[in-house]
Amino acid sequence: MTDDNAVVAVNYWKETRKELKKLLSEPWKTLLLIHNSTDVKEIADFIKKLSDSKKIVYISLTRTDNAIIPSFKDMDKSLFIVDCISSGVFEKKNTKTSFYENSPSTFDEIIALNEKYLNELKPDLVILDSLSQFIDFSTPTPKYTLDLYKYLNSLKNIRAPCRFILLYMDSRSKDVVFMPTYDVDLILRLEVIVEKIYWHG
Amino acid sequence: MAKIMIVDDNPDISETLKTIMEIDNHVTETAFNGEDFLNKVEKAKPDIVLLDVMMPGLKTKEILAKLKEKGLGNLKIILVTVVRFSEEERKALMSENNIRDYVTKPFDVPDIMKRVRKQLS
Repeated sequence: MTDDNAVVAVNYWKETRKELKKLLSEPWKTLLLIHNSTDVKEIADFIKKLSDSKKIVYISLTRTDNAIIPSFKDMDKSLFIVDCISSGVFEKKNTKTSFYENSPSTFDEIIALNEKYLNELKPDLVILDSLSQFIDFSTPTPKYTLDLYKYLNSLKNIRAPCRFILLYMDSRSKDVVFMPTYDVDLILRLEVIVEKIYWHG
Repeated sequence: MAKIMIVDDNPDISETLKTIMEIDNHVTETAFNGEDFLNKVEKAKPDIVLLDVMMPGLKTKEILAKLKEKGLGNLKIILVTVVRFSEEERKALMSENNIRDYVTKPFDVPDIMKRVRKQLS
């Protein structure tokens, strides 16, 4: 540690693979899932472990519905995708399970999307993919930090029996200097390790 | 040496791409949204455009349509984006819009240099 650095927080990280199911079955309303996965498959595998959730709304700010659906194919839950990408690029019409929205540019617009689909679909789990479209935990600006707190508070105040998973992509290229530790119930880090497998030559 | 136009609303990414392209001896021009790009593109006459997909203002499909209206449908475009499409969507997007390549963020510096050089060769 140099003279310029100071301890700003102490976190305890625990490897939870074996007890993940138990951990996820405990009461929580908001879960921040920090991940380094560029593929939605690992996220889908994580969601499949949530045995209590049966009706899921996936609000996607980074992937089209067609990029998401194959990874969730064998899931015993209903999945509804709010695709905020496709309307900017393709001509698509809403289906029974995919809804096309303009890409939100503020947390207020995300709050509005949440309210709309909570009312219309009454899910028991909402996934936001991803917070990293709005805030960078490495260089958080005061405005975006305040907006994030406002958004997290809006989730706390939702009375519907619904939980929220907020994805945050962190490729670890920069140091994380901010984390909303007290404003979510659970923070998990999903680390995908990609290496060249030596026996493949 | 070629002229590369960088279109991205994120100033950090725009600056990073500008630096990378200039290290590779290219001349750069930047635009921060679709409108800005369309206003500058005719005068700038870029050899390649590095285009972000999700920017405030004009949608990507509107930017690409307006380029065609301007008679610039043959402009070489490389998408540089955090957005993930399905393989079929990616193929359709590229074939219908003269998009030459697709780079996902976070990008690898040598890789993006290589892809730009490939389009110039």
